[in-house]
Amino acid sequence: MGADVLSAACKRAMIGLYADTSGYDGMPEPEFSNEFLQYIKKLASHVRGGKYRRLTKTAKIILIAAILALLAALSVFAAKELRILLIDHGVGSYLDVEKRSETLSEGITLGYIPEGFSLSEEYSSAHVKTKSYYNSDGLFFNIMKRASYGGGDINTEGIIPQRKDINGIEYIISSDDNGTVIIWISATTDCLYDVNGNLDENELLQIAIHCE
Amino acid sequence: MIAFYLSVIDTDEEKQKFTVVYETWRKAMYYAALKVTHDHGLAEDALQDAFLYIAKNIRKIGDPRSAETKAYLILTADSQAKKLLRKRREIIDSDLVEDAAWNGGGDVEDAFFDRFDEEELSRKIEALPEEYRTPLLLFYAKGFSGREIAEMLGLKEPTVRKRVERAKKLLADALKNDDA
Repeated sequence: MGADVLSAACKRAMIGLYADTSGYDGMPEPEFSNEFLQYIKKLASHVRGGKYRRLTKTAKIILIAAILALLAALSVFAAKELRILLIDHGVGSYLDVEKRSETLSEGITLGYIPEGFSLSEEYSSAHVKTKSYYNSDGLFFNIMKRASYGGGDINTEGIIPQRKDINGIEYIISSDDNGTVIIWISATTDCLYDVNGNLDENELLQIAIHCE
Repeated sequence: MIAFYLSVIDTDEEKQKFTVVYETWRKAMYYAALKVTHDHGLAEDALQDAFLYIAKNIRKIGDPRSAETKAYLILTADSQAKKLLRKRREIIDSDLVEDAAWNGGGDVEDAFFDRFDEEELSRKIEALPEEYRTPLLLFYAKGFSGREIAEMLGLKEPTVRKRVERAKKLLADALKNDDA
């Protein structure tokens, strides 16, 4: 049985508490701002082949051209493949992935786990796999591996992500007061990875480097 | 920590579901958020956050017009509005208070609840303090992970775990009291 009864009771309680909105029936339709409506449109169009992706692709081509020109000018063009682009929107960035994978076949393998951490949660689907680790001091880190076809949005408001090239892989690292997130694409599987947590940045980077 | 939102909606089917959810429930969600914020702009901001989480977790939604979906959406709007208010009032949630106040007391196994009537159990859940009830509902009714709930509610993940455990302990105590 497990959590069956508890789950069913929670569903019933949620409906009992939140599904009755008859008090709002006679209220007028809210007048949302254009900004809000554009935001919803953007969310809804986050679909492969949709308008948003075509626009992103255009921006991507311009950025690739600019970056290649810059690299050539600096004489550092050494057949290095750019795998991730961050397209700055001012209050956030769009992450676009150059090399893509459609599915995941393997789970997450960690070659380095800091001492005292143990696995607390694991999730797996055809497109995404996650693992979460904790220690007794309240420190944690999460790893996500997923098919990388979709790109995504990153909130980079007030934050400048750093890029580090280690063993031919480009890691995008961003930290603030609450923790650090590191994103990269695997050279072997083309999967997209995200390690985040409240550990020291270098410790998280070691986890990232030894993750497959 | 920066938020990382990966391809929130992947398929045309999910896009259609998101659109139905938005068209059907935006008004009720807006007024649920407004009830908390008492300000149109803040309610709109809360709804932006709510729809982002809904888009990210669109796979958690079955029938977009069902009562369960409606309840989940209103809960999401309500939670995002409260999270926004906490931020604006610069209240650094109650994580620290929580840590000090809760000394564990032993986990309650899920199977413990199997012998109780679902309706009776749901009434006890409804009576729980909201700070414990909301993580419990998201965890057991919608199957969110501790990490996802933490992100949604603006709490630390260990706090979410403690609140779920405490909710179960409070529930178990209430049920045992009824038995006695």
